[in-house]
Amino acid sequence: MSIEKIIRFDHVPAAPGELDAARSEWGTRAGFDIGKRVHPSHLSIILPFKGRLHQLASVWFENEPYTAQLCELEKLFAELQTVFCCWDSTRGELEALSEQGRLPGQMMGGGVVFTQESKQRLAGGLYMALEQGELVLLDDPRQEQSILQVNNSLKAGESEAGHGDAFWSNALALEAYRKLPFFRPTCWVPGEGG
Amino acid sequence: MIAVASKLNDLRERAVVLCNEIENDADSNGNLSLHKISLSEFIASEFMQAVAAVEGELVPAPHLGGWADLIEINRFAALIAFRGSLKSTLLKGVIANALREHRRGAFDAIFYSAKMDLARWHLRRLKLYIEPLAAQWGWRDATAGEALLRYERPGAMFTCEPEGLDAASRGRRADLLVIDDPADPRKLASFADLDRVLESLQRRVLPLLKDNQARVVFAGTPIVAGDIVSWIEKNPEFVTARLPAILSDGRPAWLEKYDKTELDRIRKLIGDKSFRAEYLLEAVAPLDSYIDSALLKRAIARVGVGA
Repeated sequence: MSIEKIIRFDHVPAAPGELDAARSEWGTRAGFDIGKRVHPSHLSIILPFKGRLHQLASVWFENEPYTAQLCELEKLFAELQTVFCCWDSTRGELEALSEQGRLPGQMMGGGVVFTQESKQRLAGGLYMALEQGELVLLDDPRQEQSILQVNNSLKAGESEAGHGDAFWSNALALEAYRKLPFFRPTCWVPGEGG
Repeated sequence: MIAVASKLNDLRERAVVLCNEIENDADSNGNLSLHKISLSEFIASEFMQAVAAVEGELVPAPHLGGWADLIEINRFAALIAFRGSLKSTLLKGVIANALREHRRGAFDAIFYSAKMDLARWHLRRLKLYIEPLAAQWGWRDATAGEALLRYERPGAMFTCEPEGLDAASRGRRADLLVIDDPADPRKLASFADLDRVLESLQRRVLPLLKDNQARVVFAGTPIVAGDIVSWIEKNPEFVTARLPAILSDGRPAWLEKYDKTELDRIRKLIGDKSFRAEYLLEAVAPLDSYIDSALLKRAIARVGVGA
């Protein structure tokens, strides 16, 4: 069991204080691809800043229990002022926890069921954001490898590097931004509404 | 009576020890056999000369000694090196040395390449190299021109068969598995393909080891990220030597053959992408990734260490 975190701000071209202000003003968005045994979970957190979406966090969860993963998500969401997170709800791993109201508030209403249609839409969104230079990713070799794992049929083989997890978490983070582009976290308390 | 029986037993035991010593020191013709030498000595003093007799004069390759030492002391050894570094030649030397050192009973080796044809080609070459040596070592070639090695002498037998990685080879057991560049680049278009190759290695090839003395020697050049070479490199059971054509300090790794001018020429000839994979050992992304590798690289923020 392990959690591997890369959290950086220094790759965003910003004057001192600008990033803190942007986080407080607009909040960050997150995408979470859930795994546990066969493949890892990956969380990506992005910040809208000066017309671009900058990734601030790339986090890998290896064989962690779901409750421990959610506990870590809550901490990261609070630290990076995440206002909304889209996550893969296809297999219903978090359904029981969701019914018990134990999901972080930022994840409420963010479940996305992966169908061929929704996968095409998410993948297309990721491609466009990368091609147009809208999304700027962190330098995480494992994430890079994981994104390249997904082939043109939107399938990925199982390997040590995972199962294309970072491809989907980043696509989901973009989806979270698309669904909630304008939101002021200063007016919002996690867990209420959502 | 008991004393006589005890003395007889004693004499019998001493006789067995003496017989074993004689057997170990003599070949089938009763001549004193070869002294045991290290693999690196064998490669330098006997094998490369035999190779040169077939291939023509060879440029000295100082890196082979270190590789040979690594293979000798590790049961599972891997050489990840650039094209033309003589890693396949060294693998042949490992087989030749196993033949030289084998004394009694059956010794079985399998030589794996990406395809059966390629494995056959390598064994045909090896046969040419060791033709004069095997006779000196008291072996008789028991084949009739086939592309496999089968040598015999009283009380001992040695075989080395060619095999393609995708062939079904369940059922056989081997003392030595030699795996030479087993992945076919044309079959590595996606991660599903990578997994198939890796599964062949994990489920069909490596379980063929005969016992806890059986060895595996692997040599390869990375083709795409996450391929069989990267699995071997990450596997803690394998001890790996990695040699790109240009060292981290910018010096050519094998100056005698590939100096800077020659490497530049090769880079221009095959293109930068291929050169980085084949000579600098930088694996490229699978061919049909949804997100193109170059596009992804452009989207990654590069910041200096400690920035």
